[in-house]
Amino acid sequence: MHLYNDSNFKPLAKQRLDYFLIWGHGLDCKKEIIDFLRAEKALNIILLFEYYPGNIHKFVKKIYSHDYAPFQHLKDKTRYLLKTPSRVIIILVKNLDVCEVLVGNGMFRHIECERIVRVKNKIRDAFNPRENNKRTEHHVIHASDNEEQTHRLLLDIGCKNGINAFHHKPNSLLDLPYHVNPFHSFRIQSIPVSKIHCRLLSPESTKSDLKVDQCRLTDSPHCACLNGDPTRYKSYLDMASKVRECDNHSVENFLLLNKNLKYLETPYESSYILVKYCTESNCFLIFDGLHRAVILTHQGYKKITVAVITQGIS
Amino acid sequence: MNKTLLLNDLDLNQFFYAIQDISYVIVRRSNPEKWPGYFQGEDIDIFCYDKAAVGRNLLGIANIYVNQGFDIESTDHDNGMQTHIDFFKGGQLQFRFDLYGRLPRFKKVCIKEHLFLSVIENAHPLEYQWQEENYPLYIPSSADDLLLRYIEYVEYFEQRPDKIKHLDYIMSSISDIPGRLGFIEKLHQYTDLPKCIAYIPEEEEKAKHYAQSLRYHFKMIVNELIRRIKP
Repeated sequence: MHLYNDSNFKPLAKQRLDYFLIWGHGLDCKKEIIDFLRAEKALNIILLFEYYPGNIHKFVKKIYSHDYAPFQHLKDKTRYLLKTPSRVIIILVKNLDVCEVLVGNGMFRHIECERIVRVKNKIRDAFNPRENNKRTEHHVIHASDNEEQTHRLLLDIGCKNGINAFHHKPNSLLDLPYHVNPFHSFRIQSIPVSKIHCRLLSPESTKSDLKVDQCRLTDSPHCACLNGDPTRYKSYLDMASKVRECDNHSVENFLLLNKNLKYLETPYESSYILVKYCTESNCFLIFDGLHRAVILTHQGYKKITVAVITQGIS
Repeated sequence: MNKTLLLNDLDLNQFFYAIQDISYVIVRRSNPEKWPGYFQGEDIDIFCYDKAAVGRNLLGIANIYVNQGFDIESTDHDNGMQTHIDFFKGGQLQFRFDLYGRLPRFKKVCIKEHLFLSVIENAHPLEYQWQEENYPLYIPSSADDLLLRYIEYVEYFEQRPDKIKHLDYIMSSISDIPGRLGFIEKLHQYTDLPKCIAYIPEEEEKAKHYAQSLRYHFKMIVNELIRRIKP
Protein backbone atom coordinates (compact mmCIF):
# COMPACT_ATOMS: atom_id res chain seq x y z
CA MET A 1 0.00 0.00 0.00
CA HIS A 2 1.36 3.41 -0.92
CA LEU A 3 0.89 5.37 2.26
CA TYR A 4 3.39 8.14 2.03
CA ASN A 5 4.63 10.34 -0.74
CA ASP A 6 6.72 13.48 -0.62
CA SER A 7 3.73 15.78 -0.74
CA ASN A 8 2.03 14.41 2.37
CA PHE A 9 5.19 13.62 4.31
CA LYS A 10 5.30 15.67 7.49
CA PRO A 11 8.38 15.11 9.65
CA LEU A 12 6.44 16.34 12.67
CA ALA A 13 6.88 13.54 15.13
CA LYS A 14 9.23 14.43 17.95
CA GLN A 15 8.29 11.31 19.87
CA ARG A 16 6.66 8.13 18.73
CA LEU A 17 6.12 4.52 19.72
CA ASP A 18 8.34 1.91 18.15
CA TYR A 19 8.81 -1.77 18.79
CA PHE A 20 11.62 -4.28 18.67
CA LEU A 21 10.91 -7.96 18.31
CA ILE A 22 13.47 -10.59 19.32
CA TRP A 23 12.90 -13.75 17.30
CA GLY A 24 13.07 -17.20 18.88
CA HIS A 25 16.65 -17.88 17.73
CA GLY A 26 17.80 -14.69 19.45
CA LEU A 27 16.37 -15.47 22.88
CA ASP A 28 19.66 -16.92 24.14
CA CYS A 29 21.06 -13.40 24.11
CA LYS A 30 17.86 -11.63 25.15
CA LYS A 31 19.46 -10.12 28.27
CA GLU A 32 22.30 -8.59 26.26
CA ILE A 33 19.91 -7.26 23.62
CA ILE A 34 17.61 -5.74 26.22
CA ASP A 35 20.59 -4.19 28.01
CA PHE A 36 21.73 -2.78 24.68
CA LEU A 37 18.31 -1.15 24.21
CA ARG A 38 18.29 0.10 27.79
CA ALA A 39 21.59 1.84 27.18
CA GLU A 40 20.03 3.88 24.35
CA LYS A 41 19.07 7.12 26.07
CA ALA A 42 16.63 8.20 23.36
CA LEU A 43 14.66 4.97 23.70
CA ASN A 44 12.54 4.52 26.76
CA ILE A 45 11.30 0.96 27.22
CA ILE A 46 7.68 1.13 28.29
CA LEU A 47 6.64 -2.48 27.85
CA LEU A 48 8.49 -5.74 27.53
CA PHE A 49 6.84 -9.13 27.28
CA GLU A 50 7.10 -12.62 25.89
CA TYR A 51 4.63 -13.56 23.20
CA TYR A 52 3.83 -17.07 22.05
CA PRO A 53 2.40 -17.00 18.54
CA GLY A 54 0.38 -20.16 18.00
CA ASN A 55 1.71 -20.55 14.48
CA ILE A 56 5.07 -19.04 13.63
CA HIS A 57 4.34 -19.17 9.86
CA LYS A 58 1.24 -17.04 10.26
CA PHE A 59 2.97 -14.71 12.69
CA VAL A 60 5.95 -14.08 10.38
CA LYS A 61 3.54 -13.43 7.52
CA LYS A 62 1.57 -10.97 9.64
CA ILE A 63 4.66 -9.09 10.78
CA TYR A 64 6.04 -8.73 7.28
CA SER A 65 2.69 -7.93 5.71
CA HIS A 66 3.22 -4.41 7.05
CA ASP A 67 6.70 -4.16 5.57
CA TYR A 68 7.54 -2.17 2.47
CA ALA A 69 9.76 -4.57 0.54
CA PRO A 70 8.64 -6.62 -2.50
CA PHE A 71 6.79 -9.78 -1.41
CA GLN A 72 9.18 -12.29 -3.04
CA HIS A 73 12.15 -10.61 -1.42
CA LEU A 74 10.45 -10.81 1.99
CA LYS A 75 9.54 -14.46 1.46
CA ASP A 76 13.17 -15.38 0.78
CA LYS A 77 14.42 -13.13 3.54
CA THR A 78 12.16 -14.61 6.19
CA ARG A 79 12.35 -18.31 5.29
CA TYR A 80 14.84 -18.97 8.11
CA LEU A 81 12.32 -17.60 10.66
CA LEU A 82 9.92 -20.45 9.98
CA LYS A 83 12.33 -22.81 11.73
CA THR A 84 12.71 -20.65 14.85
CA PRO A 85 10.88 -21.41 18.12
CA SER A 86 7.33 -20.08 18.38
CA ARG A 87 8.29 -17.68 21.15
CA VAL A 88 9.30 -14.04 20.76
CA ILE A 89 9.96 -11.03 22.96
CA ILE A 90 8.23 -7.77 22.10
CA ILE A 91 9.75 -4.58 23.42
CA LEU A 92 7.69 -1.43 23.09
CA VAL A 93 9.75 1.75 23.30
CA LYS A 94 8.99 5.43 23.41
CA ASN A 95 11.31 6.93 20.81
CA LEU A 96 12.20 10.28 22.38
CA ASP A 97 14.30 11.65 19.55
CA VAL A 98 12.80 10.65 16.24
CA CYS A 99 14.90 11.11 13.10
CA GLU A 100 12.34 10.36 10.40
CA VAL A 101 13.35 10.16 6.77
CA LEU A 102 11.64 9.06 3.58
CA VAL A 103 13.33 6.07 1.94
CA GLY A 104 12.62 3.65 -0.91
CA ASN A 105 11.15 4.26 -4.33
CA GLY A 106 7.76 4.15 -5.93
CA MET A 107 5.19 2.10 -4.08
CA PHE A 108 7.78 1.02 -1.51
CA ARG A 109 8.57 4.57 -0.46
CA HIS A 110 8.04 4.90 3.29
CA ILE A 111 9.03 6.68 6.47
CA GLU A 112 11.59 5.22 8.81
CA CYS A 113 13.55 6.48 11.77
CA GLU A 114 17.31 6.54 11.26
CA ARG A 115 17.86 5.99 14.97
CA ILE A 116 15.81 2.77 15.03
CA VAL A 117 17.56 1.50 11.91
CA ARG A 118 20.97 2.26 13.45
CA VAL A 119 20.14 0.48 16.73
CA LYS A 120 18.61 -2.49 14.90
CA ASN A 121 21.69 -2.90 12.71
CA LYS A 122 24.06 -2.65 15.66
CA ILE A 123 22.15 -5.43 17.42
CA ARG A 124 22.17 -7.53 14.28
CA ASP A 125 25.93 -7.00 13.89
CA ALA A 126 26.50 -8.14 17.45
CA PHE A 127 23.99 -10.97 17.85
CA ASN A 128 23.01 -12.41 14.45
CA PRO A 129 24.31 -16.00 14.04
CA ARG A 130 27.73 -16.06 12.42
CA GLU A 131 29.19 -18.24 9.66
CA ASN A 132 32.87 -18.20 8.72
CA ASN A 133 33.30 -15.39 11.18
CA LYS A 134 30.82 -13.28 9.24
CA ARG A 135 27.37 -12.05 10.20
CA THR A 136 24.55 -14.01 8.55
CA GLU A 137 21.32 -12.36 7.48
CA HIS A 138 19.34 -14.48 9.94
CA HIS A 139 18.24 -11.45 11.92
CA VAL A 140 17.67 -11.91 15.63
CA ILE A 141 15.73 -8.68 15.82
CA HIS A 142 13.05 -6.92 13.84
CA ALA A 143 11.99 -3.30 14.41
CA SER A 144 9.26 -0.98 13.25
CA ASP A 145 9.86 1.54 10.47
CA ASN A 146 7.15 3.86 11.68
CA GLU A 147 4.37 4.22 14.21
CA GLU A 148 1.80 2.70 11.90
CA GLN A 149 3.65 -0.62 11.98
CA THR A 150 3.70 -0.47 15.80
CA HIS A 151 -0.04 0.13 15.74
CA ARG A 152 -0.58 -2.84 13.40
CA LEU A 153 1.55 -5.17 15.51
CA LEU A 154 -0.32 -4.26 18.68
CA LEU A 155 -3.64 -4.88 16.94
CA ASP A 156 -2.37 -8.20 15.56
CA ILE A 157 -1.37 -9.48 18.98
CA GLY A 158 -4.71 -8.53 20.49
CA CYS A 159 -4.14 -5.07 21.96
CA LYS A 160 -7.56 -3.63 21.11
CA ASN A 161 -6.73 0.05 20.73
CA GLY A 162 -3.24 -0.35 19.31
CA ILE A 163 -0.95 2.58 20.07
CA ASN A 164 -3.89 4.64 21.32
CA ALA A 165 -3.80 2.60 24.53
CA PHE A 166 -0.32 3.98 25.17
CA HIS A 167 -0.99 7.57 24.12
CA HIS A 168 -3.74 7.89 26.69
CA LYS A 169 -3.06 10.53 29.35
CA PRO A 170 -4.39 9.69 32.82
CA ASN A 171 -4.38 13.35 33.88
CA SER A 172 -4.12 16.63 31.98
CA LEU A 173 -1.20 17.93 34.09
CA LEU A 174 0.77 14.98 35.40
CA ASP A 175 3.14 12.83 33.40
CA LEU A 176 2.09 9.28 34.22
CA PRO A 177 2.43 5.87 32.63
CA TYR A 178 -0.31 4.70 30.30
CA HIS A 179 -1.61 2.00 32.64
CA VAL A 180 -2.89 4.43 35.32
CA ASN A 181 -6.64 4.94 35.03
CA PRO A 182 -7.81 8.49 34.28
CA PHE A 183 -8.55 10.87 37.16
CA HIS A 184 -9.36 14.55 37.14
CA SER A 185 -8.58 15.74 40.61
CA PHE A 186 -5.59 15.36 42.90
CA ARG A 187 -4.11 16.99 45.95
CA ILE A 188 -0.41 17.49 46.65
CA GLN A 189 0.33 16.62 50.22
CA SER A 190 3.22 15.69 52.42
CA ILE A 191 2.34 12.39 54.13
CA PRO A 192 4.20 10.12 56.56
CA VAL A 193 6.02 7.20 54.97
CA SER A 194 4.45 4.85 57.51
CA LYS A 195 1.02 5.64 56.03
CA ILE A 196 2.07 4.66 52.50
CA HIS A 197 1.55 1.06 51.47
CA CYS A 198 2.41 -0.68 48.24
CA ARG A 199 0.30 -2.87 46.01
CA LEU A 200 2.12 -5.98 44.85
CA LEU A 201 1.03 -8.75 42.54
CA SER A 202 0.05 -11.78 44.55
CA PRO A 203 1.91 -15.05 43.77
CA GLU A 204 -1.55 -16.60 43.27
CA SER A 205 -2.17 -14.33 40.28
CA THR A 206 -2.76 -15.77 36.85
CA LYS A 207 -2.92 -14.04 33.49
CA SER A 208 -6.69 -13.99 33.61
CA ASP A 209 -7.00 -13.24 37.31
CA LEU A 210 -4.59 -10.65 38.71
CA LYS A 211 -4.61 -10.51 42.50
CA VAL A 212 -3.05 -7.72 44.49
CA ASP A 213 -1.58 -7.81 47.99
CA GLN A 214 -0.90 -4.78 50.16
CA CYS A 215 2.15 -4.38 52.36
CA ARG A 216 4.31 -1.75 54.03
CA LEU A 217 7.09 -0.25 51.94
CA THR A 218 9.67 -1.66 54.33
CA ASP A 219 8.26 -5.19 53.88
CA SER A 220 8.42 -5.12 50.07
CA PRO A 221 10.92 -7.13 47.99
CA HIS A 222 11.99 -3.76 46.60
CA CYS A 223 13.16 -2.64 50.02
CA ALA A 224 14.94 -5.97 50.56
CA CYS A 225 16.79 -5.35 47.30
CA LEU A 226 18.07 -1.99 48.53
CA ASN A 227 19.08 -3.66 51.78
CA GLY A 228 21.40 -5.95 49.81
CA ASP A 229 19.18 -8.95 49.09
CA PRO A 230 18.01 -8.76 45.46
CA THR A 231 16.74 -12.37 45.24
CA ARG A 232 13.19 -11.62 46.44
CA TYR A 233 12.91 -8.64 44.09
CA LYS A 234 14.25 -10.68 41.19
CA SER A 235 11.84 -13.54 41.76
CA TYR A 236 9.00 -11.00 42.14
CA LEU A 237 9.86 -9.51 38.72
CA ASP A 238 10.05 -13.01 37.21
CA MET A 239 6.67 -13.89 38.66
CA ALA A 240 5.17 -10.57 37.49
CA SER A 241 6.53 -10.96 33.95
CA LYS A 242 4.76 -14.30 33.65
CA VAL A 243 1.32 -12.99 34.50
CA ARG A 244 1.33 -9.53 32.93
CA GLU A 245 3.28 -7.29 30.59
CA CYS A 246 6.12 -5.68 32.51
CA ASP A 247 7.57 -2.21 32.60
CA ASN A 248 11.27 -1.76 32.17
CA HIS A 249 12.30 -3.09 35.60
CA SER A 250 15.44 -4.96 36.57
CA VAL A 251 17.71 -5.11 39.61
CA GLU A 252 20.36 -3.08 37.77
CA ASN A 253 17.84 -0.40 36.77
CA PHE A 254 16.52 -0.16 40.30
CA LEU A 255 19.97 0.19 41.82
CA LEU A 256 20.84 2.81 39.22
CA LEU A 257 17.67 4.73 40.08
CA ASN A 258 18.61 4.49 43.75
CA LYS A 259 21.91 6.16 42.96
CA ASN A 260 20.53 8.89 40.72
CA LEU A 261 17.05 9.67 42.04
CA LYS A 262 16.30 13.40 42.22
CA TYR A 263 12.72 13.33 43.43
CA LEU A 264 10.79 16.46 42.38
CA GLU A 265 13.98 18.19 41.33
CA THR A 266 14.44 19.78 37.90
CA PRO A 267 13.35 18.47 35.38
CA TYR A 268 11.10 16.14 37.40
CA GLU A 269 9.29 18.84 39.42
CA SER A 270 5.86 17.42 38.77
CA SER A 271 6.72 13.70 38.67
CA TYR A 272 4.90 12.93 41.90
CA ILE A 273 4.47 9.54 43.45
CA LEU A 274 0.78 8.87 42.92
CA VAL A 275 -1.30 7.46 45.76
CA LYS A 276 -4.93 7.04 46.73
CA TYR A 277 -6.33 6.95 50.22
CA CYS A 278 -7.86 3.61 51.14
CA THR A 279 -10.45 3.95 53.88
CA GLU A 280 -10.55 0.20 54.65
CA SER A 281 -6.89 -0.06 55.55
CA ASN A 282 -6.51 3.61 56.56
CA CYS A 283 -3.43 4.09 54.40
CA PHE A 284 -2.36 5.54 51.07
CA LEU A 285 -1.90 2.95 48.31
CA ILE A 286 0.68 3.60 45.60
CA PHE A 287 -0.61 3.72 42.00
CA ASP A 288 2.64 4.91 40.46
CA GLY A 289 6.13 5.45 41.87
CA LEU A 290 6.64 2.42 44.10
CA HIS A 291 10.36 2.27 43.32
CA ARG A 292 10.83 5.95 44.12
CA ALA A 293 8.85 5.64 47.35
CA VAL A 294 10.97 2.69 48.47
CA ILE A 295 14.18 4.57 47.66
CA LEU A 296 13.05 7.65 49.64
CA THR A 297 12.10 5.40 52.57
CA HIS A 298 15.47 3.68 52.34
CA GLN A 299 17.16 7.10 52.35
CA GLY A 300 15.48 7.82 55.67
CA TYR A 301 12.68 10.24 54.71
CA LYS A 302 9.87 10.24 57.26
CA LYS A 303 7.46 12.24 55.09
CA ILE A 304 7.08 12.36 51.30
CA THR A 305 5.34 14.88 49.07
CA VAL A 306 2.92 12.93 46.89
CA ALA A 307 -0.09 13.48 44.64
CA VAL A 308 -3.19 12.02 46.24
CA ILE A 309 -5.96 11.11 43.82
CA THR A 310 -9.16 12.69 45.10
CA GLN A 311 -11.61 11.96 42.27
CA GLY A 312 -12.04 9.79 39.27
CA ILE A 313 -10.25 6.47 39.74
CA SER A 314 -11.54 3.18 40.99
CA MET B 1 -12.81 36.63 47.66
CA ASN B 2 -12.21 38.32 50.99
CA LYS B 3 -11.25 41.91 50.08
CA THR B 4 -10.17 42.77 53.57
CA LEU B 5 -7.38 40.25 53.85
CA LEU B 6 -4.42 41.11 51.61
CA LEU B 7 -1.92 38.25 51.51
CA ASN B 8 1.54 37.65 50.14
CA ASP B 9 2.33 34.13 51.37
CA LEU B 10 2.62 32.98 47.77
CA ASP B 11 5.24 34.76 45.73
CA LEU B 12 3.29 35.28 42.50
CA ASN B 13 6.36 36.75 40.79
CA GLN B 14 8.15 33.43 41.29
CA PHE B 15 5.32 31.50 39.58
CA PHE B 16 5.24 33.77 36.55
CA TYR B 17 9.01 34.00 36.36
CA ALA B 18 8.95 30.18 35.98
CA ILE B 19 6.60 30.24 32.98
CA GLN B 20 8.03 33.24 31.14
CA ASP B 21 9.19 31.07 28.20
CA ILE B 22 5.78 29.48 27.64
CA SER B 23 3.06 31.21 25.61
CA TYR B 24 0.36 32.43 27.99
CA VAL B 25 -1.65 35.49 28.86
CA ILE B 26 -3.27 36.47 32.15
CA VAL B 27 -6.79 37.26 31.05
CA ARG B 28 -7.95 38.69 34.32
CA ARG B 29 -6.20 39.91 37.43
CA SER B 30 -8.69 41.02 40.04
CA ASN B 31 -6.38 43.50 41.72
CA PRO B 32 -3.44 44.41 39.51
CA GLU B 33 -2.62 47.40 41.72
CA LYS B 34 -1.88 45.05 44.65
CA TRP B 35 0.43 42.74 42.64
CA PRO B 36 2.18 40.56 43.82
CA GLY B 37 -0.13 40.77 46.84
CA TYR B 38 -3.55 39.16 46.53
CA PHE B 39 -6.77 38.95 48.51
CA GLN B 40 -7.76 35.70 50.18
CA GLY B 41 -9.63 33.48 47.69
CA GLU B 42 -8.58 35.53 44.65
CA ASP B 43 -8.17 33.82 41.29
CA ILE B 44 -6.27 34.52 38.15
CA ASP B 45 -7.42 33.34 34.69
CA ILE B 46 -4.71 32.20 32.30
CA PHE B 47 -5.08 31.35 28.60
CA CYS B 48 -2.31 29.11 27.28
CA TYR B 49 -1.71 26.72 24.38
CA ASP B 50 0.14 24.14 26.48
CA LYS B 51 -1.84 23.91 29.69
CA ALA B 52 0.13 20.88 30.86
CA ALA B 53 3.45 22.74 30.57
CA VAL B 54 2.14 25.79 32.45
CA GLY B 55 0.54 23.54 35.08
CA ARG B 56 3.67 21.45 35.56
CA ASN B 57 5.79 24.58 36.06
CA LEU B 58 3.33 26.00 38.58
CA LEU B 59 3.24 22.68 40.44
CA GLY B 60 7.03 22.64 40.41
CA ILE B 61 7.03 25.90 42.41
CA ALA B 62 4.09 24.64 44.49
CA ASN B 63 6.32 21.93 46.02
CA ILE B 64 8.06 24.65 48.03
CA TYR B 65 4.74 25.68 49.56
CA VAL B 66 3.80 22.14 50.60
CA ASN B 67 6.59 22.37 53.14
CA GLN B 68 5.14 25.68 54.34
CA GLY B 69 1.82 24.09 55.25
CA PHE B 70 -0.06 24.61 51.99
CA ASP B 71 -2.23 21.92 50.43
CA ILE B 72 -2.41 22.17 46.67
CA GLU B 73 -5.31 20.76 44.72
CA SER B 74 -5.67 20.39 40.98
CA THR B 75 -9.06 19.73 39.36
CA ASP B 76 -9.84 19.32 35.68
CA HIS B 77 -13.03 20.68 34.14
CA ASP B 78 -14.49 20.78 30.63
CA ASN B 79 -12.87 17.46 29.62
CA GLY B 80 -9.48 18.57 30.83
CA MET B 81 -9.48 21.83 28.85
CA GLN B 82 -9.70 23.87 32.05
CA THR B 83 -7.78 23.20 35.26
CA HIS B 84 -7.95 24.83 38.67
CA ILE B 85 -4.79 24.78 40.74
CA ASP B 86 -5.89 25.78 44.22
CA PHE B 87 -3.71 26.70 47.19
CA PHE B 88 -5.28 25.98 50.56
CA LYS B 89 -3.97 26.89 53.98
CA GLY B 90 -5.74 25.74 57.12
CA GLY B 91 -8.61 24.49 54.97
CA GLN B 92 -9.16 27.97 53.47
CA LEU B 93 -8.71 28.69 49.76
CA GLN B 94 -5.91 31.23 49.50
CA PHE B 95 -5.40 31.52 45.76
CA ARG B 96 -6.48 29.88 42.50
CA PHE B 97 -4.74 29.61 39.13
CA ASP B 98 -7.46 29.01 36.54
CA LEU B 99 -5.84 27.56 33.43
CA TYR B 100 -7.65 27.44 30.09
CA GLY B 101 -6.47 25.37 27.13
CA ARG B 102 -9.22 26.84 24.96
CA LEU B 103 -11.90 29.54 25.19
CA PRO B 104 -14.41 29.01 27.98
CA ARG B 105 -17.95 28.28 26.81
CA PHE B 106 -20.31 31.25 26.78
CA LYS B 107 -24.08 31.02 26.51
CA LYS B 108 -25.17 34.49 25.59
CA VAL B 109 -22.65 35.32 22.96
CA CYS B 110 -20.91 33.16 20.36
CA ILE B 111 -17.15 33.66 20.33
CA LYS B 112 -14.97 32.50 17.48
CA GLU B 113 -12.31 30.03 18.70
CA HIS B 114 -9.70 32.13 16.93
CA LEU B 115 -10.04 34.81 19.60
CA PHE B 116 -8.12 32.53 22.00
CA LEU B 117 -5.13 32.53 19.68
CA SER B 118 -5.44 36.24 18.98
CA VAL B 119 -5.40 37.13 22.70
CA ILE B 120 -2.28 35.02 23.34
CA GLU B 121 -0.45 36.16 20.21
CA ASN B 122 -1.13 39.86 20.88
CA ALA B 123 -0.29 39.64 24.58
CA HIS B 124 1.44 42.67 26.01
CA PRO B 125 4.44 42.13 28.33
CA LEU B 126 4.67 44.08 31.59
CA GLU B 127 8.06 44.17 33.22
CA TYR B 128 8.27 42.74 36.73
CA GLN B 129 11.08 41.46 38.89
CA TRP B 130 11.77 38.27 40.78
CA GLN B 131 14.95 38.04 42.85
CA GLU B 132 16.28 41.16 41.12
CA GLU B 133 15.80 39.62 37.68
CA ASN B 134 13.42 41.18 35.19
CA TYR B 135 10.80 39.00 33.59
CA PRO B 136 7.77 39.68 31.35
CA LEU B 137 4.27 39.20 32.73
CA TYR B 138 1.85 38.80 29.83
CA ILE B 139 -1.51 40.57 29.86
CA PRO B 140 -3.96 41.13 26.97
CA SER B 141 -3.43 44.02 24.56
CA SER B 142 -5.69 46.96 25.34
CA ALA B 143 -8.04 46.08 22.44
CA ASP B 144 -8.36 42.47 23.61
CA ASP B 145 -8.79 43.60 27.21
CA LEU B 146 -11.83 45.69 26.20
CA LEU B 147 -13.24 42.86 24.14
CA LEU B 148 -12.85 40.35 27.00
CA ARG B 149 -14.46 42.81 29.42
CA TYR B 150 -17.38 43.29 27.06
CA ILE B 151 -17.88 39.51 26.72
CA GLU B 152 -17.82 39.14 30.50
CA TYR B 153 -20.35 41.96 30.83
CA VAL B 154 -22.76 40.41 28.27
CA GLU B 155 -22.41 36.90 29.69
CA TYR B 156 -22.82 37.64 33.39
CA PHE B 157 -24.71 40.94 33.67
CA GLU B 158 -28.06 39.23 34.39
CA GLN B 159 -26.70 37.33 37.40
CA ARG B 160 -24.11 39.90 38.42
CA PRO B 161 -25.33 43.48 37.85
CA ASP B 162 -21.98 44.73 39.19
CA LYS B 163 -20.50 43.61 35.85
CA ILE B 164 -21.75 46.96 34.52
CA LYS B 165 -18.35 48.18 35.69
CA HIS B 166 -16.86 46.60 32.56
CA LEU B 167 -19.17 48.59 30.31
CA ASP B 168 -18.37 51.79 32.21
CA TYR B 169 -14.67 51.03 31.82
CA ILE B 170 -15.08 50.43 28.08
CA MET B 171 -17.01 53.68 27.63
CA SER B 172 -14.46 55.69 29.56
CA SER B 173 -11.51 54.05 27.80
CA ILE B 174 -12.74 54.78 24.29
CA SER B 175 -14.49 58.10 24.34
CA ASP B 176 -13.69 59.10 20.75
CA ILE B 177 -15.59 57.90 17.67
CA PRO B 178 -12.64 56.26 15.82
CA GLY B 179 -11.76 54.30 18.98
CA ARG B 180 -15.33 53.07 19.33
CA LEU B 181 -15.46 52.10 15.66
CA GLY B 182 -12.24 50.11 16.08
CA PHE B 183 -13.68 48.31 19.09
CA ILE B 184 -16.91 47.51 17.26
CA GLU B 185 -14.92 46.22 14.31
CA LYS B 186 -12.98 43.79 16.52
CA LEU B 187 -16.15 42.82 18.35
CA HIS B 188 -17.80 42.08 15.01
CA GLN B 189 -14.82 40.05 13.87
CA TYR B 190 -14.76 37.68 16.82
CA THR B 191 -18.31 37.47 18.10
CA ASP B 192 -21.73 36.46 16.86
CA LEU B 193 -25.22 36.39 18.30
CA PRO B 194 -26.62 33.00 19.33
CA LYS B 195 -28.88 31.44 16.71
CA CYS B 196 -32.48 32.67 16.80
CA ILE B 197 -34.85 30.12 18.35
CA ALA B 198 -37.85 31.01 16.16
CA TYR B 199 -37.26 29.10 12.95
CA ILE B 200 -39.31 26.98 10.58
CA PRO B 201 -38.32 23.33 10.74
CA GLU B 202 -36.99 21.87 7.53
CA GLU B 203 -39.84 19.34 7.19
CA GLU B 204 -42.45 22.07 7.48
CA GLU B 205 -40.65 24.07 4.80
CA LYS B 206 -40.57 21.05 2.48
CA ALA B 207 -44.26 20.31 3.02
CA LYS B 208 -45.12 23.91 2.14
CA HIS B 209 -43.08 23.66 -1.04
CA TYR B 210 -44.84 20.43 -2.13
CA ALA B 211 -48.24 21.90 -1.38
CA GLN B 212 -47.45 24.97 -3.49
CA SER B 213 -46.17 22.84 -6.33
CA LEU B 214 -49.26 20.60 -6.18
CA ARG B 215 -51.54 23.63 -6.22
CA TYR B 216 -49.68 25.06 -9.20
CA HIS B 217 -49.94 21.83 -11.22
CA PHE B 218 -53.57 21.35 -10.25
CA LYS B 219 -54.33 24.86 -11.48
CA MET B 220 -52.50 24.19 -14.76
CA ILE B 221 -54.46 20.98 -15.34
CA VAL B 222 -57.76 22.66 -14.54
CA ASN B 223 -56.95 25.58 -16.84
CA GLU B 224 -55.99 23.19 -19.65
CA LEU B 225 -59.21 21.24 -19.15
CA ILE B 226 -61.29 24.44 -19.23
CA ARG B 227 -59.46 25.53 -22.37
CA ARG B 228 -60.22 22.20 -24.06
CA ILE B 229 -63.78 22.03 -22.81
CA LYS B 230 -64.58 25.56 -23.98
CA PRO B 231 -65.93 25.56 -27.48
